Formats: sequence, structure tokens, C-alpha cells
Amino acid sequence: MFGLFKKKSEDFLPVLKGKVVSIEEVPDVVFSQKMLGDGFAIEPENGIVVAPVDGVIAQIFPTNHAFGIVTDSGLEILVHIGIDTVDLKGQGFERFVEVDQKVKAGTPIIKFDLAFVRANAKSVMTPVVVTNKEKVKSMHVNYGVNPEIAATVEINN
Amino acid sequence: MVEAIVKSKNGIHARPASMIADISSKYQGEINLYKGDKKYNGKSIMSIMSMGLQEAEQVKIEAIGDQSEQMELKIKEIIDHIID
Repeated sequence: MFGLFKKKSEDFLPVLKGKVVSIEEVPDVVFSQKMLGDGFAIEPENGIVVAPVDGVIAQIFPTNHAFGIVTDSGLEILVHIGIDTVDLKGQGFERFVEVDQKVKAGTPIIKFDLAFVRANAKSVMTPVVVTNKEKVKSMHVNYGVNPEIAATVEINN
Repeated sequence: MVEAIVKSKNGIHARPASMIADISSKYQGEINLYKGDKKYNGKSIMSIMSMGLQEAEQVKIEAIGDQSEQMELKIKEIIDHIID
């Protein structure tokens, strides 16, 4: 019954201020070859990472460098701040929310020190990917600087 | 059911989770991972990452279907050995 009201598509906010670029440009094959799923990446201009969609926080790594969010429509989304940032052991990252918390699109989730991460990690490029590929019917990405909506995903029900 | 111990100093983060889910997704049966009594879906990257597995933690691996033991050992191999 509730299935009747399930969304057929989800709009993704860009999660950070900056430029939306192709997932294939991310300097890590696990992302660029879409091993974790399809999506997009942000070249950030600031360090406040917000929820891309309404959903429940499924996981925040102890190091606060990545989080997972699950939508009511069933999309499982990973936001990964920078590349090889797991090695920073949490330095330069701070969380605003906890696991299992319900959040709205645009809610700040993690703050990070952009200059520090830029100086100490492989890249600050931040991929946003849907990890349950079978739910994605199609994805349209709006490339460029600070688009209102970074991507729209049509959902397989 | 077999047991594995997380080798990676970074725990089971995005990359190892994707490797486990990738192998598991090719299996026709069910793959369950257990941390304590809590069960997780071995075919879902998000489910595996939500386990929050850290270095030296114990995981139980259960495959249900044909050649389940080989499958369990393949996943154990990743968890026991991946150092990244």
C-alpha cells in the first residue's frame, strides 16, 4: 500500500559547493570504474558536506570520511569525501549527525578541513554513488559549477 | 559457516566492501555476514559497510546454496588478507 506513494525518481543535491564532474574522473578505480556504483563527483570549494537526499544515515565511518544514506525509495547512497582519506584516521573531519538519524536533503552531515585534506590526501574529489545498482533505472547528471540539482535517478521498483 | 578476522588496519571500508559484494553478487544463493548475532547481507555494499568492521574484529560468513563452502572461503580470504 505504501508502495503506491513511493517516489519514482530522486533528485540529488551536489553535497558540497563546487563543480560536478564525471565519476570517471575520480583518481581511484573503485570509483572511476563504477565498482561501487554509478554516480558523480564534486570538486569541492568548501568543506560542509550535506545530505544529497532525504533519508536515514546507514553508516558513518569512525574516521568521518564517508557516510551512507538510504532513501525511502530504496536507494543506497555512499558519499566519500576525498580519495584515500581513510588513511587520515579522522584528522580534519567532524560529524554533525549519528547513525540511524533521519535527515533531510541539505542537512549538514560532516565538516572537513578542505586545505588540510587537499594537502594530505590523494585528492579532495568527493564521489557520490548509488551502491545498489539494481535500483537504478537511469541517471542524469548535471555537470558544471554549483548546479541546483547534481543528478536525477529514475528508480527501478 | 566460517570465521574470518579483519586484517585491514582501516577496517572494512568502501574498497573491501565492494570486493566482498562483487564476489557475493555472482553467487546464486544467499550470503550472510554476522557480527556477533547481527546478520548483514553480503551482496549489499551498504549493508557490509554498515557493519563498521574494524581491524582484528571477527566476522562469520554463511553461504546458503550450491558449493557454499568454497564461497565462504573465498570471502574469508578477502577479509583475512586484504591489508588496504
